[in-house]
Amino acid sequence: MTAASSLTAPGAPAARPGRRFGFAWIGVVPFVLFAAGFLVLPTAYLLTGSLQDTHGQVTLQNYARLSEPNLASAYAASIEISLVTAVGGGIFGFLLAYAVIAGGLPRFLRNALMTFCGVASNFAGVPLALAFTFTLGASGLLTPLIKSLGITLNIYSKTALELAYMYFQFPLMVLIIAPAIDGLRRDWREAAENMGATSFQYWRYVAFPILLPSLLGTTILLFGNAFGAQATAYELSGGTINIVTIAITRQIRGDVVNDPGVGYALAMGMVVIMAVSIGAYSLLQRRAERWRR
Amino acid sequence: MNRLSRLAWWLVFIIGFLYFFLPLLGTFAFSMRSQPLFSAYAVVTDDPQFAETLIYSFIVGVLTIIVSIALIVPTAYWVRLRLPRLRPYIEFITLLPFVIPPIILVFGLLRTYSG
Repeated sequence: MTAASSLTAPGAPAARPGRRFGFAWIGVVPFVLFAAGFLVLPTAYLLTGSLQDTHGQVTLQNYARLSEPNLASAYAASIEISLVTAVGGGIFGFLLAYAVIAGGLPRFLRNALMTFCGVASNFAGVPLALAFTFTLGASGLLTPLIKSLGITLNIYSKTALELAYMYFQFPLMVLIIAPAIDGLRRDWREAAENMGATSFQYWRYVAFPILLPSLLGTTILLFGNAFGAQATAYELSGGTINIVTIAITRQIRGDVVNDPGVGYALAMGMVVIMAVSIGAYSLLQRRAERWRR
Repeated sequence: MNRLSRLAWWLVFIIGFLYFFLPLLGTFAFSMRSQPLFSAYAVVTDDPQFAETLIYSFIVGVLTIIVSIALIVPTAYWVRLRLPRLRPYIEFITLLPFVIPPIILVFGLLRTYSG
């Protein structure tokens, strides 16, 4: 009886020390092979390439060359665009999510918005770039209206790219932040009001501190989302805008006569920035979940 | 909820709606520039190459889904039941595609496998 119960207990494998590993590992071989071949190996190739000069000697020279004006400004532009669209998309996405969840708007608008956000957050790349060209480009739908307001918007500029990125940034914010807003319990607000708190005090001392990890985490995720985007920028600017993903595209196409090692270093720099932001995101997300039990 | 703040939330919603809708409207309006109306759509659907690319994209999409499910579902099941100790490592691997942007992955794949 004890043997039977120990077999079904969660600690069952420990009861059979000789077979602790056995052949169970065979079950993960396909996944590990796939991940190794299509994720780890290509990344390792870039990493080792970034640490070698053209003669195969180990060097850090490639990384030092990232400080060259052209490459440094590509990083600066990428970071700037990602920051602007993450913060802008984050704030507007939060307001939009709050409007349909707790702003007293009809319930069907919430479902409609969520569906729309699911579509729009994936609407990137060539279709998005074309849609913005048709709307704000030289002969776009809104161009006459904007011109009559005295604003000139160059479709190849950073501002235009940021406007286009916002199209997928704030829907993503809505999708990710909605559960956190749902998690704000009505009792907390009522409790605060019963104790005489003003609306501002409720936000300052209750809602905002609870939402802060979610807000920060999601904004960081939006940053990474914009930082890694390539096709939208390439299509909208015709490959002329100098951001990191476009610089890497130039390396892939061999458009520039350049040291391949620098291209690999450029790629690894992106991986580092992405790793930091995804790491911060999952850390903050874990913190945010404390309130949702 | 007083009337003023509800008005403000409606305003936020309307701005969001316009942001969604205007680029799509712009695209549609552009497609209507060829005369007669809707002729651009006729041209596209009559083009055999368009049908070919559409079917190709569709097949690639479906194949990706099938391969992903065939690979991930058994692995997740197996790790959960038989190898719980591997879980953090497997989770780390599944996070990698978010850390490595597609363009970097393409770069690495090309350099690794195209001779």
